[in-house]
Amino acid sequence: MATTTTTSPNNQDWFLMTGDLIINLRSTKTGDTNNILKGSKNRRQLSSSSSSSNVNGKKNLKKFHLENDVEMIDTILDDNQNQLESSTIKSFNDDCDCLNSIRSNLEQNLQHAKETDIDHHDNGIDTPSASRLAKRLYNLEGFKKSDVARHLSKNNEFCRTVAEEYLKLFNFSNQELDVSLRYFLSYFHLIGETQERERVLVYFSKRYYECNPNTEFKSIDSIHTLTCALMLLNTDLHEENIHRKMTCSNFIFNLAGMNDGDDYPNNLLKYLYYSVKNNPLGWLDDEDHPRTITKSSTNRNVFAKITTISKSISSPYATLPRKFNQQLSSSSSMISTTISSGIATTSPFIDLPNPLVAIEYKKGYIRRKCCYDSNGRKTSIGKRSWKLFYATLRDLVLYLHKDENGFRKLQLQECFANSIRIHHSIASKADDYPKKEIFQTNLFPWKKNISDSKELQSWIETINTTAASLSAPTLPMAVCSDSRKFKKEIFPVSHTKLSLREQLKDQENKLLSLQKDLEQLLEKSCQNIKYRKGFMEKENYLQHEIKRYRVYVSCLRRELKKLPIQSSNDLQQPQQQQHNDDSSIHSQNHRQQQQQQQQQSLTVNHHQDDSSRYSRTT
Amino acid sequence: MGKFLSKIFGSKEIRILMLGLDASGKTTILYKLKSGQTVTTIPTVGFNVETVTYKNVRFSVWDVGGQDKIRPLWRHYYTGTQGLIFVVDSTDRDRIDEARHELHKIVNDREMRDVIILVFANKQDIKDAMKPAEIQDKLGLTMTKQRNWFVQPACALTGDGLHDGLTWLMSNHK
Repeated sequence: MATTTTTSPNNQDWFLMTGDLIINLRSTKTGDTNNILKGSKNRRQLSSSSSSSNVNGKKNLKKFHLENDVEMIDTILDDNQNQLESSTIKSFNDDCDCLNSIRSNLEQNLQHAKETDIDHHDNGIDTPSASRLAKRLYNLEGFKKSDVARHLSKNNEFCRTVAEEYLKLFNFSNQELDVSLRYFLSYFHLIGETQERERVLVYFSKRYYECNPNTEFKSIDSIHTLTCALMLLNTDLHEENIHRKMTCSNFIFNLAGMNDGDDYPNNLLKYLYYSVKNNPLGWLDDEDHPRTITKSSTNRNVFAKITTISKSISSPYATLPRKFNQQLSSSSSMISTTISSGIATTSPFIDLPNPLVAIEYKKGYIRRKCCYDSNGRKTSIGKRSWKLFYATLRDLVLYLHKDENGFRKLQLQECFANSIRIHHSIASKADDYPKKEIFQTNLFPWKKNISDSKELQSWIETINTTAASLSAPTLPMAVCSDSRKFKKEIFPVSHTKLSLREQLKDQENKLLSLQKDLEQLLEKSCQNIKYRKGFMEKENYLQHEIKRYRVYVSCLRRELKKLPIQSSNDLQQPQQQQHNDDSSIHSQNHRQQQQQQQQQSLTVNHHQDDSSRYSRTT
Repeated sequence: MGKFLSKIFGSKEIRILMLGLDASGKTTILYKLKSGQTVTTIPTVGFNVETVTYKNVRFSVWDVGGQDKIRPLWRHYYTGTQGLIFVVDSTDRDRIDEARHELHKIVNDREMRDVIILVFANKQDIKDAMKPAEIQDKLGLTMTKQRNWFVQPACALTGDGLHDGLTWLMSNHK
């Protein structure tokens, strides 16, 4: 118990240091270690930046540090595993996961550090440490079965050495191929891209050939091909969702001529086919099976986090979490159908943002009327009534709740069900209800009714400004073999990575190019009757986009005015203002105000807090 | 009988092969398509296949990859394949030529002459990513005449563009 108390501060420290890394880890799949490597690279840079000037002494120091880190993680891991035994809280499990991967990366770093100053090995690979890692992978010391594959499958020298060393620990002598394959696959989970899986199987084939030099196989390649064929066969026969199953004769036919130009012996293939058919290749699970990890994409992550929160908080609802989770995930599919297809460009494949970490811009009671359904059709008249909601605008999502307690955890599913994404949308006053105070968001054909006109104006402005400052630049439109078809640009859901000024510049440029496009389109349509086909659609689209960008540009300018001016050259005035009367007036005003502001820059500062929340720099 | 019923209820199946160089984003796309749908409890050992039901159409997507030596193993799946999804890392200008070779190798197979080609120009959110027009040019898609192809800009991490790609596949397959 004493060890637990002494190491726990360390533990926390470690999380602070690597917090970023852990978040990355959670958001990546197991196959993808890019982020992790990035994290460890940063670390390497940190330590190597100091060591680059002075060579040997500092290198040793670095090595020492890395070794220390590995040891530290080891103790934390042990500690965590101890705790894991006593309590079954899932988060500990996660921590172990993260730590394990951090640890293995540190080891790679350590390896890298050694590589640079040890020269007792040939061609730059430190075989002793590779074989040490291989041994640890084999014995699953500090690794899960699902972690192993990514240490074997990468296409670099060190990984190759590790994989070869790893395979040396297996003995396939006098075994049939399928028996060896089963034996091999029982030690870890072969996951990742097809290319990666195949690479691991190459090492397997090599080792099998070494152990059984006198079989009917002519070469490593022919073993490899057959091994891959068996894996494919296993998927084909035992994946539930595949309907047309491969028959034995299909299998034999497919492999014709692939034993280095010859056929494989028919009996062998038949034996292997029925072996796989009657007894699927399977993985033996350790504590949890790989799919749960592979599947923990960001979408699920949000839910996972929420469930862990609710787990830790709600002890009276001991049975709740599982049920809750189901409701959440089912509601997620519902959202994607109800909201997202309101705009033709979003899809069910897009993640929901986590409202609990988003910045809140505005909230208040509004009435809403739904004019168009999710599929773009008009809502039936019976369902078009006005409904009162408590709306909260957080980041690029407008959440609609029954009352102010919408973000309480127990109502979360509801909060997702009625939300509206506002990225790339414009809010404007609805003209067809002249008497009421209503505004409509344009991409989303829903109308909202607000009690007084001041409030209305403020909602419109907030929505437009938020959308203007946070929406990411559009992705270019698709290209197609049928060039006559009109394609819209893609509106990404993610937040922009540009700062407020860059965003403004980007949008001004966009506005310019759109106006050019429109001019060209009009010219063409006059000249050539052929362009009439998608003409109306394209014109409407361009008109709408131009309107949107005008609104955005003016919103952003207003926002920028609130910011203290860093340098007056920073804002480049576009030259296209003659097209655009209101914005040229606007920019004149803008210049005047800039001057004013420069004079009284001290008084402006208090605006900064208010408006800087829109400006996000990377 | 099954065919008859599925005609009535309008559920179709499209078999898709998915191809692309390492780290182009195939697996991300595959799991992205899958997210939000019911997850089968135990995955099968072998290679990546995912079935995605989307607007009454079942897509079974095979991640076809690996070296040339094992490429012939996928021949079995060429017949009856309606579409090819080719994933390109739009930021990787060095390997676009390699990608072109891969694409043409599979597209020129006799069994694959009728498939429609959807190219996901992935990682568009990164600055200096190649634009779809440039990718189309570098992949030599205009050379493959009488083919139906579509270059869809996408960002697999956020899921942007995937929907549009699938919609195109759905409306264009025979």
